[in-house]
Amino acid sequence: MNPAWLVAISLFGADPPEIVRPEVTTPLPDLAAALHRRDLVHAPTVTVTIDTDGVPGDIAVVSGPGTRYERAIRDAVAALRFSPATVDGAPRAVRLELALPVDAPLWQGVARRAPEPTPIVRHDVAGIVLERGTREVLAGLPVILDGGRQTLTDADGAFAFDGVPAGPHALEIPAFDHEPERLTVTVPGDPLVVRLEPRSQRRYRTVVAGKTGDATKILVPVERAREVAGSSGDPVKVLESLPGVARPPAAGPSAGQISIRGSAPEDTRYYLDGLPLFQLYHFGNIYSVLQDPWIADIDYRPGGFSVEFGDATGGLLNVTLADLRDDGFHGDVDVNVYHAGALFTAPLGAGWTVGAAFRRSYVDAILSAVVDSETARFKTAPRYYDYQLRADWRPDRTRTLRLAVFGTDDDLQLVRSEPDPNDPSFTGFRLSRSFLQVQGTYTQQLSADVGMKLGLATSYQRLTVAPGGNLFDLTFDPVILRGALDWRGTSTFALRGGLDASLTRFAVDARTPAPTKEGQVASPTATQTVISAREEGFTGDLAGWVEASWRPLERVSVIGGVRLTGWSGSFDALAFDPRVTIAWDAGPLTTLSLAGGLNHQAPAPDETSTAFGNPDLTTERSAYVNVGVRQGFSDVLSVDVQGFYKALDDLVTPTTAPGAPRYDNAGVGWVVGAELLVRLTTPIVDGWVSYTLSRSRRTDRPGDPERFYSADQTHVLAIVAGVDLGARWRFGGRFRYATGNPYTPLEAAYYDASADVYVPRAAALPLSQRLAAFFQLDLRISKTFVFDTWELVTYLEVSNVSNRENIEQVGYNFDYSERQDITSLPLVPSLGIRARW
Amino acid sequence: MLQRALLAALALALPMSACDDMGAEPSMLDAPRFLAVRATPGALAPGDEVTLEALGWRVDAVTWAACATAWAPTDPPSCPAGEIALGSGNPLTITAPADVDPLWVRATATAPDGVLPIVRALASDARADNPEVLALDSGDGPLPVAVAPGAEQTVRARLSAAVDDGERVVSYYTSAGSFTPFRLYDEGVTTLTAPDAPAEATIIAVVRDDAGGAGWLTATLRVEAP
Repeated sequence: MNPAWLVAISLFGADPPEIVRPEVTTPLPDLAAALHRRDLVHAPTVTVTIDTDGVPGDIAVVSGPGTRYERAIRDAVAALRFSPATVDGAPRAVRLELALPVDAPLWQGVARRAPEPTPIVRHDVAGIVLERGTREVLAGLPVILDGGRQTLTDADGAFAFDGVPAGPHALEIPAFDHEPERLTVTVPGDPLVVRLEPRSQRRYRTVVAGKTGDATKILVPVERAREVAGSSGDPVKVLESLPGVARPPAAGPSAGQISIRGSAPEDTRYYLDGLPLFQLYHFGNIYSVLQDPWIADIDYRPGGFSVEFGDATGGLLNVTLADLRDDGFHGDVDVNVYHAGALFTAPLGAGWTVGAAFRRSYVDAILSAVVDSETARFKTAPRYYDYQLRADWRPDRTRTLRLAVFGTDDDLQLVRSEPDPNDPSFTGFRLSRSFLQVQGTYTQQLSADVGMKLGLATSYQRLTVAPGGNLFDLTFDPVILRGALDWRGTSTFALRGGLDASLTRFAVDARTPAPTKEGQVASPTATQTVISAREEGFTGDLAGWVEASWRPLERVSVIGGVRLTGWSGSFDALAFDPRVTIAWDAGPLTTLSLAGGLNHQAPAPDETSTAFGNPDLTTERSAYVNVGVRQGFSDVLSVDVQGFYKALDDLVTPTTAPGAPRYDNAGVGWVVGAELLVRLTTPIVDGWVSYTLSRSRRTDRPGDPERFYSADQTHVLAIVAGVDLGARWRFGGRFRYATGNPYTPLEAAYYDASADVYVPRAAALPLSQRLAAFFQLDLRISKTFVFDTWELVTYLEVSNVSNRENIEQVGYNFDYSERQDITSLPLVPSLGIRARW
Repeated sequence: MLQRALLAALALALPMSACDDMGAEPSMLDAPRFLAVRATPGALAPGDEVTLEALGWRVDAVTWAACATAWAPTDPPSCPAGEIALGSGNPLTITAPADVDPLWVRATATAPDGVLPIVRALASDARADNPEVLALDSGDGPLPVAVAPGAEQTVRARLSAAVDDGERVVSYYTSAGSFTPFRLYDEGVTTLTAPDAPAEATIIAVVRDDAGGAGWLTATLRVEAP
């Protein structure tokens, strides 16, 4: 029995308690392969009638990757055979709603969105069936009148009976994902609204899912991600528990920064609906900038991604926006230890749905009370707010327009009333970061085999960093255009291609030393040469890409592509990135993959700046090989193993020779590793184990000794699990272990009487020592109260249950004669409450 | 590319990671240590004589050197064009090279646990007059001759008149006990916490301006039971 194929079921039969569900008796299709969409990640959902011979018919696609694929999806379902459903032992025709697996051993939950609505007319007995709490319409459910006559709820969850005599009648609605409902109705009477209580496990059937379309790709549905213990309900933080991601430090200037597969945080790109997102987290990475009810899923690609994306030698994270619900007015109010926020959506008609959201932190109020002292106080305690406005237009199944306006404002100002004892020039600190982005994506099915997607975004971005008397003020206003065409040529060949372009106006006002680069010993600011620069201008890039998907053999697919990128303006370069992925479906539950290619990325703007760097730098390059095996063992268990190697060259590195430019491309490096992802999905227990074994090394300059990369972590383990306890109680935990980061021990080199500070130097080879290993256990328990038209979710989370003092950083006293470990937060309980309707 | 700009700029926050409330008190003089270098006149006049004086605690046999180019004699990198030996002595009068501005000088002394280096830049755009500590008092009166063990005694440095709006910072050192805060702007009042045992405390106030100028004053305070 495969429960994945029985997400919703309706029966044309007798007593519901005796139902035996149909089973799939033929092999499950690999839809991604059948559709030539190795990147297919959204499970198509269909409704289908299974007759008494187990033959499917009347197949309708409810949701899927696009109408151009509906024919293929219907064909795939029509080829299946089932054992017939039985009621009291007798075969009966049934109508199912199926979530088709795009990844044979895995599956997605039932689609939320129902098919096209149909009007309800006045009947003797009529009503609508909704899920209690969410008010989600429940389509395709059987409704039985007086134990005999029956019908199905339609796409709007509506049902009706005519010709019913006056008087009381028994109405029964059996369901698998909900508690059955029995009630007495009186004819004549008003239309009914029947609210079915969802069974506890229903909401958690969606689990971490994945698909090898790119070399490696992991899709995390947001409903599951926000339940991860230690995330405080922020689904984006699930990234920290996935393979290839180094455990981000919780303190220091790189707090929360994500290092993927041994690459620097700035080598990874973030996207929202495929358009660049320049800021994923509020500062300190304490919370993501996007309201999670509007996030559909989190698409994580640690490396070897499609040529559709470029300018990154690390990983890629694409946050996909969820469709706005168009079945009524909905809201969500979220209050937790970080912030309070609210979100509302409403349909306007003619295919339009709009929404607005706002969130404001109150960390400032807490920290102001804690940190204020005689020598230091917050002029502006850390605070953030964010906002989003959205509009979706879905006039029909072939066109979708999604507009979004979103932004943040983060600010922190710390003022010292007395000079810092270590560095008198450090009189305070200001970090201010804000952006406003407007973007739109439009998708249209141009013909049966051709689809199109366009994206346009523009934004205002500002960052001000002012340590002591220094200042770095950066503004940039990019305009970004992305377009792609998708052509399904034949059953074995498909082609995709597109153009990406961006033009950015930037302005920099700086009176600051050059930033300390990875691997360097940071000198006190007062001893460094302050560079004063005002630069403004334009920079841009243009990239074209094409990717072919070919299936030369039934079980073998080859996806190859090239990307050509040109940069112009403050940095001029041209890069050619060929990439290929070969996948072999060695068995119904086994996929092997081999991928390789090149990635280029532009240096950081400060590195190519005339004032701060070297305009003659070239691109950094990564050549990668990826080998993967995905093995499913049953419906509930799968194992992914990925091995990778990256050779890095032309890395930007500081120079030391007098008179030389500040940077050149002399650095090289390599990263090798293996990742394991074991996923368990049952109706009661779900979770995953993620383990990464890796090594990341760098050689800064020819002749220099090879060293560790500063975020190199040999072992990174995350175990995430959740258990449904019944009655809407859910208990979850996350355990993390990671090798400590390398660090460079310091000692005093000399005392600088001009700046009145001791200046450190490396006391050993760079990054030759390691912090102690990190481990932490987080627990979370939540309870959902379901009312007729709304839900209340409450949770208690305890981070660092063992109260372990994990070392995040090494600090020193004024003359570097004594060292002190800077540890992460102790045991921290936090509460959250959320109402949604 | 632009995302990289944001992260690169955040690296400027690195100095925030320093620990300012741990380990040995910076005000405590419990080992040989350089505290300041004063050049007279304060502004570098190429070809003219300048007198260098290092303030140290239990430091003697001071040797001086300078970089042959406008480069800090640090390690690494050390002076790329070589060093100029200036001689020994404290104070020491030298003739400023004609074409090196700023001139980085380094004083070294031998201490039991190694060589103590201190560097100081002399620049032509510095103020000619060094700031001075004129007196040490309690903030509301003269400094007492003696304080009780464990007692807290306020201390304030009276400074020479400021020549402009430049910021002046006063650091306080003591051979017994500790000062909190260790550094203050201008004529702020700090507090000396006397040691629990009788001692003779040497207290030093060093004033620095924001152009490298320095001046200091030393006083003695007995710590004894009343």
